[in-house]
Amino acid sequence: MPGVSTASLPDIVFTVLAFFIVVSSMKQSDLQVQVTKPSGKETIQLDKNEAIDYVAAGIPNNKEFGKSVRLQLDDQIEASFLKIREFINDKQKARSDAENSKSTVSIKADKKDVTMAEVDKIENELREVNALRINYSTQKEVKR
Amino acid sequence: MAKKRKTQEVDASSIADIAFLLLAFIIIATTLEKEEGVPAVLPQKRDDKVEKPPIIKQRNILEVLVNKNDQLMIEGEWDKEIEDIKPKVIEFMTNPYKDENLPIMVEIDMSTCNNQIALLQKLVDEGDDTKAKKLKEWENKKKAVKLLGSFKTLPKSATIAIQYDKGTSYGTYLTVRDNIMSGINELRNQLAKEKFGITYNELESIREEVKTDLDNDRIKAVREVYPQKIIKLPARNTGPTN
Repeated sequence: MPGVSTASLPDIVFTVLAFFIVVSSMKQSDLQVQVTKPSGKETIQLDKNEAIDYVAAGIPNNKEFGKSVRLQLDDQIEASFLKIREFINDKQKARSDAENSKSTVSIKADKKDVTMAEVDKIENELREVNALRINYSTQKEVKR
Repeated sequence: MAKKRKTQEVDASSIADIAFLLLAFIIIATTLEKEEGVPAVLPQKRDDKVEKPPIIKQRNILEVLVNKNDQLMIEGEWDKEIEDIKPKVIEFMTNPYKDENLPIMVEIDMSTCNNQIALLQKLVDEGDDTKAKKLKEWENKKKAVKLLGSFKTLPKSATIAIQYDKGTSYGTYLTVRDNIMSGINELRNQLAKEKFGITYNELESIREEVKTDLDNDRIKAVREVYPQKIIKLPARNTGPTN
């Protein structure tokens, strides 16, 4: 019995590969704080082509950082909310003005551990650096 | 003295392996998850700290309060549930029974728009730049009337205010906000469906590449009728009264 020709296998695999490259995007740096996102019905999907900066808030996984709410900016765990300014400024410097005008800051905060006092602090810092377009990151609500 | 030999073919069988490795890498390193969320725009930072907030009539504010125990108060009534928010929002934004405690709806039609535009245009031409913004607003209203016919909308000062305590959990706040949005969106959907045969959500979710100017104008018109004016207020005293 003749074997099945595998000559076209690379083509098939490359096609699948191309498909994945197109539809997916690079993973964000892993969260080092515990975040259970709140769920929502009236959510929108952010346009991946526009710049998104992430500010995460929650209790750190690593107990060395303590048991209270900390921020995660990129890979850094920060206790001070003032660091947000620096973080956003750095991000904005790396982009053009046109990109900055459409950029969004997505706030990933834990629904139970994070209180409004902390959300307020984050928002005030963002207002300081004029990053006014924000997004409260949510997860899909399970349809009942 | 070159030996004559058949050109050797490159062995292609390992290309499949290489491609599989690449595929595996891409699948691991990327994510299909889309970033979802509730969008919001923060108010601009005010230089002037003593600037007084404008006084808004009580009937023009829908007050939703969440205290630090995540209990809910709507318009001064405690013990409300999350589900109560949506009907309240819809009632507030339409005031169907001309309730005295709800905003007086403003009727917008073509002639009011034309009158206002003519009036404001004159002032702007005379050099009063402060009216330019107002002129723009009325021009947008006129566009909306063209698409929708005359409509009733909230007075300009009408606002939905979410009051919260510093200890209110973020999740509860967002749920409240989400439910308010859900009320507004229901009205928007109804209107768009009635006038254009397509819901507001469907209009919004048209992909940017295929969205026409008409779609954008329609979205703006619907927003003109049912504006999304939600403000977030840190509350001073949020203990239940009992």
